[in-house]
Amino acid sequence: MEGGEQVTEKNLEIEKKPVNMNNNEAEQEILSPWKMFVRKFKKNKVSIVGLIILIIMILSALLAPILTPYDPYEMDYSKINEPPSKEHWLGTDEVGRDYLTRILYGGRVSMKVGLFAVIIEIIIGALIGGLAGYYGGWVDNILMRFSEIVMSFPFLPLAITISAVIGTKVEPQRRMYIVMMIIGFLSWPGLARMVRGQILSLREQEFVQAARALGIRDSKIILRHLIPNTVGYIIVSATLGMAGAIMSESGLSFLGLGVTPPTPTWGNLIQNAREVYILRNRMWLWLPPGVCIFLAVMSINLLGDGLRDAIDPKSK
Amino acid sequence: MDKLLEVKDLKTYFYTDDGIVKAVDGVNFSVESGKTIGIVGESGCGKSITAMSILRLIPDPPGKIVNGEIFFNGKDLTKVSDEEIRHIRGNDISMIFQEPMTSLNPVFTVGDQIMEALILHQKLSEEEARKKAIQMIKLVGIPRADKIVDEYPHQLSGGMRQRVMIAMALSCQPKLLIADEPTTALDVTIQAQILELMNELKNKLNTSIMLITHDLGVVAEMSDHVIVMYSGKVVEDAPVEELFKNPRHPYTIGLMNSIPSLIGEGKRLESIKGAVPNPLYLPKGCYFHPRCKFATDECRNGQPELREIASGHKVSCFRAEEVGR
Amino acid sequence: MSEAILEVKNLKKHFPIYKGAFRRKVGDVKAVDGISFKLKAGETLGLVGESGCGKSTTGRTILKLLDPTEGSVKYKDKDVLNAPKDEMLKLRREMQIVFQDPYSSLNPRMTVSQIVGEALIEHKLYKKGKELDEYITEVITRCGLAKYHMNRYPHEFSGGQRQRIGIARALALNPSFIVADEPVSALDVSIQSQVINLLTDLQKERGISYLFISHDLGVVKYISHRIGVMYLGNLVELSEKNALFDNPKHPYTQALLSAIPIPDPTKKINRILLKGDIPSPANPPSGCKFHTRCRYAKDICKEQVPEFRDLGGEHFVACHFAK
Repeated sequence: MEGGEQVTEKNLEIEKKPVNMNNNEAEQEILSPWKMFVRKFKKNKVSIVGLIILIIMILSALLAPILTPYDPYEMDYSKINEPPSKEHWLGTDEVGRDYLTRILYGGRVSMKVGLFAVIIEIIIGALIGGLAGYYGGWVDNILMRFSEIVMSFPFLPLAITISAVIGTKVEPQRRMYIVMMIIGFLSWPGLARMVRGQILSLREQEFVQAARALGIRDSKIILRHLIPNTVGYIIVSATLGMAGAIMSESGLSFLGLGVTPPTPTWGNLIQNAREVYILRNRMWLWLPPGVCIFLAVMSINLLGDGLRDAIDPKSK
Repeated sequence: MDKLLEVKDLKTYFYTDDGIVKAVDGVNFSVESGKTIGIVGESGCGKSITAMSILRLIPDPPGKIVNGEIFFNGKDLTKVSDEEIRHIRGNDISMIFQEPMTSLNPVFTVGDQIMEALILHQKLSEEEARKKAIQMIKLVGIPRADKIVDEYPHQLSGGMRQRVMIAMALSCQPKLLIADEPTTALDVTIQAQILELMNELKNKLNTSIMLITHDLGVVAEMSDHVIVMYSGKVVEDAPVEELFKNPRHPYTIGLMNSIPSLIGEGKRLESIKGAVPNPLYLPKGCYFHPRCKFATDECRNGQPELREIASGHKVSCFRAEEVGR
Repeated sequence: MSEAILEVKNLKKHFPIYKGAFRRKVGDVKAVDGISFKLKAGETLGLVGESGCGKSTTGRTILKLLDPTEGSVKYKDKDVLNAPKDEMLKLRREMQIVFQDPYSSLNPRMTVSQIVGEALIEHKLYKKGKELDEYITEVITRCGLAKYHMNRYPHEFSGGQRQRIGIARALALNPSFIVADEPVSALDVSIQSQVINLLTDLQKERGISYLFISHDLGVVKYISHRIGVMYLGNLVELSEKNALFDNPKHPYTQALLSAIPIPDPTKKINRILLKGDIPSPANPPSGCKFHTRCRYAKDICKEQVPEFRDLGGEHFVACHFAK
């Protein structure tokens, strides 16, 4: 180490300067977590396709009154059971309602049910999961046992029973809300467990320990350190949950236990296929709503996968 | 001078979405039989990828050995069939990994895992393999070998697991043992035990060892010859005593000066400014020049070759003759 | 320099072990089992030991990030462990911590200025605005970062830079005592020395005391004034560093020091190899906890816990036979 002194002093100066790998680092774009997320998501072409399909479906449901001149409930006995034509692209049903219109409005109902069911799921799931994860101990124990109880209800029999008991007392237009609640109240435990797990692992992260060492209040730790780091996962799980909720709604409605006619949904529109004659000869009555369910669920799942990959810090 | 392994101009690239990562970029070295070679470098310098390339364990895609020859016992490992390389793995060349926790399969007993290779490569019967397994466990200094053989990895401590890994790696009496940071996850007193064991076994079985580590202390103690890597390239290659006495590459010098125990009492640690460059955006010229205090225009523009400056001492630096510790 | 600012007495932290569906307590992991030491102003006390010896738990219990089982911690004569909330908040400003993992110790969704400034706002030292920004800039440039780093997120930095952010966060409150919990263990060698130099410079400038926790004896020897060696939740030896390295008294310290690989191929070390592994802290050996691996162990070691006594010159050892 001859001449060590000189080198040391020189080095001192270097060190006080910022650690700088390349000179134009200062001008480099700041990559916020959100920007990183968008960038990663954009790379996933399949998910972009899913997103586009979904946007088209949502838009066409929202703009239904503009897109079609017909009313979904207006019957026209002069035009019953017509095949597709110029006026009625997908024909008419047994009471002369324009079928395309009913599919568009049915999409409104199906997606609305899916959306609100998921909102209920998130509110309950995130709250219960968050409380269980943050407080731990007996709170955690009670909440998790409760969620296990809810989880072990068989979904279909219970949904059918509730729907059969309450359903008859409610007018058809309101049945939609019953379905939302059945799905929402039965599907939160999965989300609650996920949120709990997230919070549990976040709580042990050193940045939360650091916040405690800095004297940051508990409420701020929850608000600033815990919640923002779980939101991504909740969004992903909600997206995937919505696909499930749409499927559940369709299933229930198909069985006649969900939303019932005259309110159209994709599920009860497929009901037509239960007649063998229609199944064989008039596929325009059951194929389009089936395709709609398929497209909606598939595009939401593709989107959800893309979101998950973009949020997961481990994926590239 | 019997060369057991000779790596010539090895290049292993990874083709990622963001570009080509030249993880190993023209590496040359050789291992003599019965000797230990130490490969030193910081995370991301390509030392582990070099080892995995030798065993052809590079995940493909995205990784690929794009160039070079790896002669082992006169055979080029980059050209042999998959069947053959599988026979060489675990039989002629075996590997110990850093993480003793994850490198053992938790659902099989220790004995099963040692026996597997013996039955496969040495064609031993189950009974013979079990005997041999117990013998190996004894050899690596684990007491109660006949009980341990039936235990599961989670029942063992970290040091014990690493011993089991070594027992496994040595069970087929390989000619070359590749040890990738074998003691990094262990405590110093356990590390001392494991290093002692590896040295003992080397002398007993005449195995060559390729020791990959970032710890210069471990290298000094274990190796006969040392290679220093930086950003996928060999920057210095010398016998261990020569390297520590007379390091010639500014990176090697910087590394040594940043180790507290090599610096005298009360003196300020020297540090290498900045950080290892992103392998996607390597600087022009010598990869080390942005962090090098001796860099000149020559270094910024041209890439130095690995050249011999003294017998057996190779350095890739334009100014190797001028710099020193 | 002679005044003790931190006094730890008989500190214990036991983690209960629960088993079964009813979470019945079946025992304790005695992570820290009665530790006492003093730390002077401007001094660095190194705490070394192998994994599971309780050195990190000690650091966190002193800062009351973990609730202690027993014992007392006094900081400038104030009782840390029983301090009321507002008192504790004030103490938090003076006692800080730097963590090992440069990745999990920074919130990925906050910018550097939010990370460094959060506590300043919480403690009402600054309000959001120009003054705060100026102060943050001052702190982060002192830690070797640049002003333009302020609005960046942790993932944009390398490990060494992240560790600097962690140090800046602790430094912002202008503490006089920092627990450095393996601050360089996760860093590459060439980056380690940058961080070590930063820590020593800060100590010279501001007279900060460190409790420097590490398993790397070379680093600890370099940075510390005094060193404590821990084994299974206890201090077995505590002394001025040169006295400890030149003349270790406890058999465990002797073995530990001899186990360090020396980066000099011409030196041959006379190694004391320990038998076996570290016993579980849930079920430590009786008497002297080291007796199961000690080459000098006699019957008395199995029965009697050795006293942590001063051999003279503030060289403390917990061994029956040390002289």
